[in-house]
Amino acid sequence: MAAVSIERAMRDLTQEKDIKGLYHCIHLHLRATEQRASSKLMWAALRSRSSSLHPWKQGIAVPPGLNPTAFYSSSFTTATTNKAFLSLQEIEKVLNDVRADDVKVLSVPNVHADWADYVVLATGRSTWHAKQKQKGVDRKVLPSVEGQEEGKWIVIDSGKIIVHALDEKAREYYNLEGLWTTETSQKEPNLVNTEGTIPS
Amino acid sequence: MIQPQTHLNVADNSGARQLMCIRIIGASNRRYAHIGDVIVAVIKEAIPNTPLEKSEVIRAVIVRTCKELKRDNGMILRYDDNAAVVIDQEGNPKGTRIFGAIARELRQLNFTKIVSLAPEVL
Repeated sequence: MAAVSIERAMRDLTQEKDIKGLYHCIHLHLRATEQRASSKLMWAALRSRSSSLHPWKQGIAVPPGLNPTAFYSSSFTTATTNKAFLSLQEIEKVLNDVRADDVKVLSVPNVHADWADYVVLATGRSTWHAKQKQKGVDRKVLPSVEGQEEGKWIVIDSGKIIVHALDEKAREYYNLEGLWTTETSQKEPNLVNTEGTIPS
Repeated sequence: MIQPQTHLNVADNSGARQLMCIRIIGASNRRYAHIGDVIVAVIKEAIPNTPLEKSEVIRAVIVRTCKELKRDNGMILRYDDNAAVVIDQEGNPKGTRIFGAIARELRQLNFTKIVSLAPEVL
């Protein structure tokens, strides 16, 4: 359910050109996700890979006030119990499908340890048309979408992963990569030091 | 406890230095604003040669208060100053960087942009 809703959000975001192609992409993606859901093996592989890359919080650390059960869809419950939210691969795939430019995934486990693990950045080609009224409950629950009215900077907050979609000017102006990469590079020496001291 | 005439520090690099609250947004007869509330403020002091000028009327969201903030788990959070972040009508921050610690309640109040710019989230 969460994947579908983010797809819908993304679809709303990029309505400006090549709509047929986009729908086609998304349709393909939907079919792909269905296949993935049916083939548990693939899921397991993805999951193990993601867990080896980054230790997912086992006990579903949910920020206070967010209800984790709301994100379980019936078909995904078995596969995604210890993820709870959208997976990174899914988001990347969706962003690729809607042809977002300059997608960057930054992991920020140190900087914002408490409230997010990954930050995904993407740029739209024009001000993304976000005026579509997406009614219904799936938007009221997470992933919560913020800034959809004017479309300069749209934040999709799905628990551990935050997707920032900016237009070019806003991306230049806020320079989010600069903020997070410099912070992580400041933190990295500390990490290296601590890691170096623990074995010795 | 921010009310009209309260002076606040500015916790971003928008160019304003000090604000004065002139109105709390959200209810018609509300007395005090707390963390996460949007206020209308006037700029009392500004850094020269920046887009914002003195005596300009702007919107701001309160990010720190001296009055303590109580959480459900019993935690109490209070800061040494009253501080706000300048935003526009849509909730985008005017500045590009935010200084100081920010309470995580802002995320639930749909100020994820401010939280993601903040150096520290309490």
